[in-house]
Amino acid sequence: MKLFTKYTRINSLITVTIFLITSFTYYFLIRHLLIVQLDQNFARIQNRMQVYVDQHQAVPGPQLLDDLKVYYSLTGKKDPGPEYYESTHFYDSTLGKDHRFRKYYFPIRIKQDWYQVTLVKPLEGTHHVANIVVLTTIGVILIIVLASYLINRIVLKKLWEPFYNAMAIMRGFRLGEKSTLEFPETDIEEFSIMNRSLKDATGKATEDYRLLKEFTENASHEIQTPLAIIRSKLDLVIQDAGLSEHQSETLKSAYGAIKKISRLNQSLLLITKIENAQFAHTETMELKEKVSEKLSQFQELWDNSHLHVSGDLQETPIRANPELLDILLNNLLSNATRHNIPGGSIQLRLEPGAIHITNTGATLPLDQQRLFRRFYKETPNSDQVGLGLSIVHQICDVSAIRISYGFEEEKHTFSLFWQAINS
Amino acid sequence: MKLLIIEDEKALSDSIVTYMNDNHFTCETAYDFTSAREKLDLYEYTCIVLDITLPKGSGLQLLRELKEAGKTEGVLIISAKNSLDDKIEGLNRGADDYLTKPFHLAELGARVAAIIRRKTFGGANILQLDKLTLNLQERTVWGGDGPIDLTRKEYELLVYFSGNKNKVVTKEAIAEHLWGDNIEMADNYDFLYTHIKNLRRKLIQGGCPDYIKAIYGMGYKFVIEGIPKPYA
Repeated sequence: MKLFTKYTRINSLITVTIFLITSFTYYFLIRHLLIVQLDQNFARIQNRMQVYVDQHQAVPGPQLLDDLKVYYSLTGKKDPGPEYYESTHFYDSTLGKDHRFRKYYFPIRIKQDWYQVTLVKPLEGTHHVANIVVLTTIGVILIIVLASYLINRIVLKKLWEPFYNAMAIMRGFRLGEKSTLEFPETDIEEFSIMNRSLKDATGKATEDYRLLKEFTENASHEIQTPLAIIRSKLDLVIQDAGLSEHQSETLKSAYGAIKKISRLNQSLLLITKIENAQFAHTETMELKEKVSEKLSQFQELWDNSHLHVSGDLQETPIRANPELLDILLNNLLSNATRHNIPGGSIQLRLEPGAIHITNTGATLPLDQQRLFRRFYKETPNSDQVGLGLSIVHQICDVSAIRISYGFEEEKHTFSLFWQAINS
Repeated sequence: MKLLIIEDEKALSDSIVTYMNDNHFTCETAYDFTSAREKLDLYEYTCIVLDITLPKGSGLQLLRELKEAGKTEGVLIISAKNSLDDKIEGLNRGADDYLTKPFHLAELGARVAAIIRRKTFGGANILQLDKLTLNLQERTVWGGDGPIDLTRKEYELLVYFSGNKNKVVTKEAIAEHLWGDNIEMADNYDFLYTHIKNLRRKLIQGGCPDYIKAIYGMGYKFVIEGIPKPYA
């Protein structure tokens, strides 16, 4: 069904219902009013009859009791008098009420003389009918306005519900999630079309994304073997005792490049795997233990780079994938080490639900906007591939950890926050 | 001692054979599933280097058949897949170790040597390297003049060299072996130099010849029996 048809249907239904109800109301009100009016007439006639009987002690003739009063007066003029209508009123002391009348003046000629005829008839009935019609009409208009307001408020909201539902579902859509979007059934044609299109588009996007990831994964795997061959051949070449200094230098840069490609490749594979939710398994671990372990692993490296490392570690559990947590800590600590300055410092603060890693380094803050993007590098010629923080970000994403970066007093701080678990 | 290299990439297989073919090892190769299966049926090997993805079948299938046949060869899986699940599956099916491509040949040498030591000598094993004696279970080292006190890293370094005798080993490969792949270091192997220097000093003080030779710009070579064999 079209949205417009449905709306019109509801709208007409309500309007017709209102008009039907008001028609009946009109009918009964006016009927009631006329009866009341008639009854009042009877009362007036009875009153008049009583007055006549009191004065004459006889039964009055029928015309005397009629509402219509007729007066004749001789004008004494050669021309017919004017013909007009007039509304008037007078106070009836016997009934204690103000009465409205309608008068009709017209000339009539009897032989040679012109008479002025005046017909007088009470207005009560028509007056009340008019009042009722006006009031009822105003009432009906008010009801219709109120009804359309309610239609718009309730019905329209209800009508557009599938649209808002679909929008809510779309907001929750993320590329890379395995499930396809399910939109609730709707009998509105426009929304059905919209839902179908949205489903097709997101399905297509998801499928394309999956293919792209599959491609990345396959490409990465395919690259491993040639890389293994190149590296093994280099390993053989260096066994040759007769290498010149120049050749050694050349081989060294070849080694370096291979190391870089293989690291890049591994990072890409890791990202693909995280996206593929291949690290779905989680367990609750004591982060303090993990961090202490890492500290002892890095200690030698820090001693060698003359970095001062201090830690304030409180016990706090964290729920995550152990492998990912390890990579996360590795990447953050490696970064804090690599981008440090000689004689600099690294501070670790572990508290319930949060860890802060602060290090000295570049004197300018990092670019908040691009920090976690893939291949972001502080210096373009850096030896690093620039995937470390992107991986950190991705791990945080899948582990429900919030990460933030801050720069204060020439120190860079990465903070992780997570929902503290009561152990 | 015989090695079987099951690897479909001929170039890589050749490299491994060339590197491993020295006094102690004779290498045979198989490039696909069927020929690998035939060779495993016919001959006994000390250690098998096994690629998982093979033409006409899977390396894991070979591994299962090997274990079902009750063979005790050591198996080192080399795979392009670096995932914990694959590793666990391989090891659960009876492989002794797992190495991800691209690897350093020196790492392969060290791992194969370790597997063979475990398989050949059983529990308590003593490794004799010229004048050096390593007790691999107690992790102690004796030189010509008695025990040599080594740190954990120095000991690991020595064991690593023992698997790559008379081979030039790059600093990069050594660093990766000792500190793992996860800690990304800047291209600065100073900390490695310290360990090498100390090990070298301790070995000489312990009454051994200077086994460790620095190869300019490249790495180190653990030289035993005087002049190493020239490379073919």
